[in-house]
Amino acid sequence: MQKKLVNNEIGKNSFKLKVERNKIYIFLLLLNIIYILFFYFIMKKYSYVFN
Amino acid sequence: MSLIDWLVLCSTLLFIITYGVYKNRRHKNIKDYLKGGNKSSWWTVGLSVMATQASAITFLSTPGQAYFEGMGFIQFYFGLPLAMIIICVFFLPIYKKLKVYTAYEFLENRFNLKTRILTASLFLIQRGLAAGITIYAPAIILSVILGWNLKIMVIVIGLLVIFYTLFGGTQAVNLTQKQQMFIIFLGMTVAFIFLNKSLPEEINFSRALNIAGLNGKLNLIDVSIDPKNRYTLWSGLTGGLFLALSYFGTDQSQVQRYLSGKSLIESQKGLIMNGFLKIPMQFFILLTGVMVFVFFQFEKSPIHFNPKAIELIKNSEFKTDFLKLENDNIELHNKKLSFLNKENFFQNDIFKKEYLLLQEEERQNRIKAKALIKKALPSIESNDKDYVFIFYILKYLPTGLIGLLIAVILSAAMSSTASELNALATTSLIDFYKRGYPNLSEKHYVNIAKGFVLFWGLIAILFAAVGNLFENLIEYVNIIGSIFYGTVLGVFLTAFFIKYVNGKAIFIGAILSQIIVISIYYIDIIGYLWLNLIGATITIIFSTILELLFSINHVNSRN
Repeated sequence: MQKKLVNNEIGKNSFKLKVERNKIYIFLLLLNIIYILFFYFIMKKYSYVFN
Repeated sequence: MSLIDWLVLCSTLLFIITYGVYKNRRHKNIKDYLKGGNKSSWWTVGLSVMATQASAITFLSTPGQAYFEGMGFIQFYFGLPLAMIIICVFFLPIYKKLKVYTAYEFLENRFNLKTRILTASLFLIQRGLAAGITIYAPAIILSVILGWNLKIMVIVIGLLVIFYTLFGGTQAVNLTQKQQMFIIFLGMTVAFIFLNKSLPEEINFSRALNIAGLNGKLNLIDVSIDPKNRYTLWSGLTGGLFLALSYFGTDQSQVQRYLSGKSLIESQKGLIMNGFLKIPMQFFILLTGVMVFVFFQFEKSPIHFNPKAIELIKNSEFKTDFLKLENDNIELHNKKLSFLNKENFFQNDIFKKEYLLLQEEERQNRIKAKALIKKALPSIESNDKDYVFIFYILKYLPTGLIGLLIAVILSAAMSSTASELNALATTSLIDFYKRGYPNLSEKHYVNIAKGFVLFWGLIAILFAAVGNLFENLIEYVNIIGSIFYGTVLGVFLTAFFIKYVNGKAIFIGAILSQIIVISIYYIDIIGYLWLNLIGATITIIFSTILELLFSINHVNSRN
């Protein structure tokens, strides 16, 4: 019974979650990209290129 | 440390522990004891997950890493938010639906008992050894710096953690971790503000960043594909993702934290909170290290940050050589300072180039000092990275703040160890004892769980107390982790994503993969950090092929 339950759960498309929750995940992914871009910006702003 | 520092340190730690135990001293059943009665809100789960990962070494070693090598280490965490999403979407709903106590319990439902026992055993071996290190690593540094007795320190930290983990259970661990995280955030913020205030008047935050940038300390992103570079954007997004998936998704010390959430949504929110905050938190700790570096551009720094090593070498035959290097270092510092104090330093490329040449000379001097220490004192740790931040704390922070910062370090050590003991006891009880003796009373199981906390706590203390008998102990434990983590992750990924693989195939696949990983380690053809990825990949491939062979065999035998 338990085994069936597990397989059913895996079989179901777990992405069919509430839209609100998916929005949080997308926001987190975007935030991760923003972090990377922010770090890139800091690096470029404070790194030195000598003439 | 002054009396006020001792008061701050002891009162902070004792308040957290007594409050945690007092609020959670009664447990009706094992759900109460091991899952905290599923009462934790999302932010308790989030803080608890963060506190478990942030060990004392995070606060001792990470600023030192930034001091010497810059902030590139941050890239190691770029895969973490993605791992949090995968766990929230695929792992957590199933764990919650099945109401499991351990991650390995799920594997019996999905595959068979043998696979559950195999993965639970691998966890016990790896985490049982790591628990000792979590206590030993900060204890050795604090004992060197503060002159405290190492063995007494290990025993005191160990007994305190055993006390509140044993009497308070999971809920006490979560509650204390919430307060420990508060102390950690408070202490680090105050130290950061103080650090900025102690820079010369004309050096504001932006100027400080200019100096750090000039020295290459703000090279946060590396997009090169050179495999020799350990921390790049690509290794962070791939290797970091795999490591975070195995740690947060399959390691019981983390799984137990989010299983204590009130509901599936609360647990998911807790993990997402970790995904939001982990990178800024690491960035802040690394930035603190960079600010310590800037601080020591204006203040004389020692040529080596381990005071014990300096004391010993000054009493050895290499004293004259070492003193010469020390004097050269002071001279170089003064020359550097004369450039930094020039009014138009930041506008003048020639000054900056001269300053960087002196900086490089100073770096070479430090390397020479390190080599000399290694030659004169082979048994002493010549890498002083872990001593930088604690050296700054003890020498430059005011009375009271020193006690608070030592409380930060000890809180971090205790929060990680508590999660480890809690998880080791849970796995021992649920995956072994309760599986063997299933129908006993709840009270009996709670008592046995407490017995396991004591048992694993004593093992950790024992291991930490004899830690100095083994050379490079921390590295050995990391190696053991890398050897086993990959296989366990492979089993879990197969369980979640490759539906047609069954118990027999995954068990044989995991055993074969483990043998191959151990062989690769012994042949020594690749760095041990890669063993994680190799173990996971081989397990998935082997189990898939084996399942295919078994099904072909099955069809043939039916025909």
